Amino acid sequence: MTAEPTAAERESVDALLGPPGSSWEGGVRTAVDMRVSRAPENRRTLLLPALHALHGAIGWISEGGLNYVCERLTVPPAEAYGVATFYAMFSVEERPTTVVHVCDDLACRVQGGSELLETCRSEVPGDEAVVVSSPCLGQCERAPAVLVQRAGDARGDVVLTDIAADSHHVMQAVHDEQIGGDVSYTSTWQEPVYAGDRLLARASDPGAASLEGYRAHGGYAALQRARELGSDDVIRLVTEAKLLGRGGAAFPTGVKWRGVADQSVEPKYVICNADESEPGTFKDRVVMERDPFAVIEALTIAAFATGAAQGYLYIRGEYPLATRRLSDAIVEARGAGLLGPDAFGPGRPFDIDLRRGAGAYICGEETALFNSIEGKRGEPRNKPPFPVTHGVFGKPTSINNVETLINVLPILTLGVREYVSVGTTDSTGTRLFCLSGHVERPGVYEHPHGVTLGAVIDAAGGVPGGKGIKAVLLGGAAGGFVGPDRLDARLTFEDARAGGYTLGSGVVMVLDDDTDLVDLCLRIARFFRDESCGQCVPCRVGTVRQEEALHRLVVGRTIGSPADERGLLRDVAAVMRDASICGLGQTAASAVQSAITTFGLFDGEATA
Amino acid sequence: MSAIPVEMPRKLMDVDIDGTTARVPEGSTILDACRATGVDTPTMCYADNLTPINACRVCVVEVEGSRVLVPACSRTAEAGMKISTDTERVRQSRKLVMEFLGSSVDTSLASDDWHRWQDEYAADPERFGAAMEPLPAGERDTREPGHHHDPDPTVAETVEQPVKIDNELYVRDYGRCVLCYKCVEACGTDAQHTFAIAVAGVASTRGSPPSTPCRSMRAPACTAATASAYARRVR
Repeated sequence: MTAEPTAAERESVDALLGPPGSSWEGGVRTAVDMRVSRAPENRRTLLLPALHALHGAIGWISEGGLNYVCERLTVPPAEAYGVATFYAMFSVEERPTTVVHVCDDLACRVQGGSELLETCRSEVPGDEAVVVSSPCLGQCERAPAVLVQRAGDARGDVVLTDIAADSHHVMQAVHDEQIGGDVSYTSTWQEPVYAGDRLLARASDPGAASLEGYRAHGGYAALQRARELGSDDVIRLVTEAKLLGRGGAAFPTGVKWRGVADQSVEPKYVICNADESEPGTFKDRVVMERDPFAVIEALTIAAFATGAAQGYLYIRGEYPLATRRLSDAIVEARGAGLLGPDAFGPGRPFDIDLRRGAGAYICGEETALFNSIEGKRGEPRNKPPFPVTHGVFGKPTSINNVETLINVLPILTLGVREYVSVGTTDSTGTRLFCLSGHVERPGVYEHPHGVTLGAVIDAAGGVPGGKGIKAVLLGGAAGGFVGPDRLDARLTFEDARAGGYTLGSGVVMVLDDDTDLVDLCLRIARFFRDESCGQCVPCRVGTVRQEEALHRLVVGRTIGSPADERGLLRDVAAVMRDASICGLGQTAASAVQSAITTFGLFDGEATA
Repeated sequence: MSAIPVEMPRKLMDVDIDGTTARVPEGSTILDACRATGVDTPTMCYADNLTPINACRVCVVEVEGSRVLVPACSRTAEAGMKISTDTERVRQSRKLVMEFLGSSVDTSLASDDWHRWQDEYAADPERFGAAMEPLPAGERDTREPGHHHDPDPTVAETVEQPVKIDNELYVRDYGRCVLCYKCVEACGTDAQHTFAIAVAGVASTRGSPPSTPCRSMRAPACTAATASAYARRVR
């Protein structure tokens, strides 16, 4: 409690917050401070950015550094400690300034991620870097992937993708300060495919990441149109276009916007949920890296429609390139007056605050994301009350996924009639699919709703090496496995509901004949156990009991028969689905259950 | 101060609990309504004088129109709400929650009610296997979020660990911590406004299988003399 910050720690925090105004917030005590209490207003919302600053400076969060942040922001130290220990990218123990996160999650796992992890563990010297196993890094089309997180003088995160199973590139990124400053690079000469006519129309043009290039593609025409129409008509068009949320919950966007617009409480907020962490999902990353202004324009339209003056763009901590592109784009948009005090005309402000997560799948859950922005632990809240009335800071909030938001642009530029001319009656427009695993040309593909699963896989070149499809993971780890008999399944919201599968976040992970599904189930069970925030009992203990039961089945040390264990897993699945607070717990068993029921896993003898 | 709490009169409304109409004041929770009609509802993290945090989920009920079960302790009852407290789904969820807690935390000193409920719901915490040996002191404190420990398939993980004795006034026994957040709430906005206790870590890493230890930066001896660790820190 009495630990003091080092000069470097103090400097890093002051660089973010500015110098302290008085001794009441950590400055030097003056005569005035003895007479006047000048506690700053609660700035807890800056806690996560401040922790990033500290961590970036020295590679861990010391007690002295944390104390200084607490003084500057008026946050109780115990609470700040609780927040600092919540995120996987932070450490409160001293460690080397470089951390190598090797992804051994689903898509990387079937492309040699586990072997790469072992290699890095044995070859990267422990005094230079810590090697950790990472949940999905969202680079599945270029698997296997590594995130090198560097602090101190060489600070800046580097994403290495599609790297061979040796530690050569990793060591380069650890040693060479020239590599980095937040860049992604891929060792392969063949670029993954990012193909689409509407949402991905600009993704193939590197120039679209600048405002000039974006405008050359017709950028900001949608905002122009929105301002001509007025907010009510914008919401009406979005509603008529039947835009449904693409983050997994499929909630009607027009209803959400209407709900926020109708609130009389001020201020209101709009948030872009870019905490894309569902294993197998990378579409939002591709959009943000290649078309950052589309995200900013769409969020600006959301603010215009709902009456918000402040927006947040919450991006996961493992996306350095997308973070840089967005932050550059925000600066450029501000310079052009598209954001700022007069964004919607004289005296009508709107601006966007870019917030970076720090390694927590749960923060993609909307209410957990609110808490994270507020500087609290990213634990979900109970609903109701819903975000429309009680969102971030307890105010009316509209929160939409990246893909959902950018759909608003074609709705406004093309018009509703043209927009709904593709897709089905209930699932309008197009959808981004994340093709990974055993496909010839992985990438993000835009298809109209109603396309069949088989056609989506064929468009990506099918399975390499003439092998057959054993299973497809649809919708991510929170989705489920389907067999090759479902290749004719139509990918729409209504077909998915009726057929008992889910589109989730658009994950189509293809698994060939030789894939070990049991191994993937173990990884999924482990994922949910690691990522459960621990708040509610069904998820906190259920994810542990699920993983334990699977391990017992694998090694053949079942309690009772395998059938008894399958019954136990069903019981655990039911209570997680029915009684957990949020979507993480509610879906933590769905993929494992789908594998057991569809593929008869653990039906007979022990598999190991 | 009056001996009987005086409140603004509240409008009464009807809710349906297991087919019986209950008349309760507006703003009541489902739990209030259940208690008013004599429906026995198990609770663990709930306390009458604290803001419900609905973390244990043992009080869940079925509400018509809701996809998932809802926590009775925190959900406000609405006029005309149809509530079922004794369906197979509700009983099964409550039973599993009791089994989860019973298999991972030492609940032997929990209330008589808790033990009675365990019997009533035929909860069998041993179905997940024998409890693992307690970890050595400090072992859990070194676990970080994201660092996975493969489970030992022969035992069920628990939060058992040696008692931590910080000083004569502050003893922490995490082997019995059900993460009800009551201490956090009482130390925070519900009573003391001291904010010296917070939950740290995430679920299965730095805490336990299940749990997360609450940890205070300065052990609060929660008496009038040393009420606020934080207040002292900021002078």
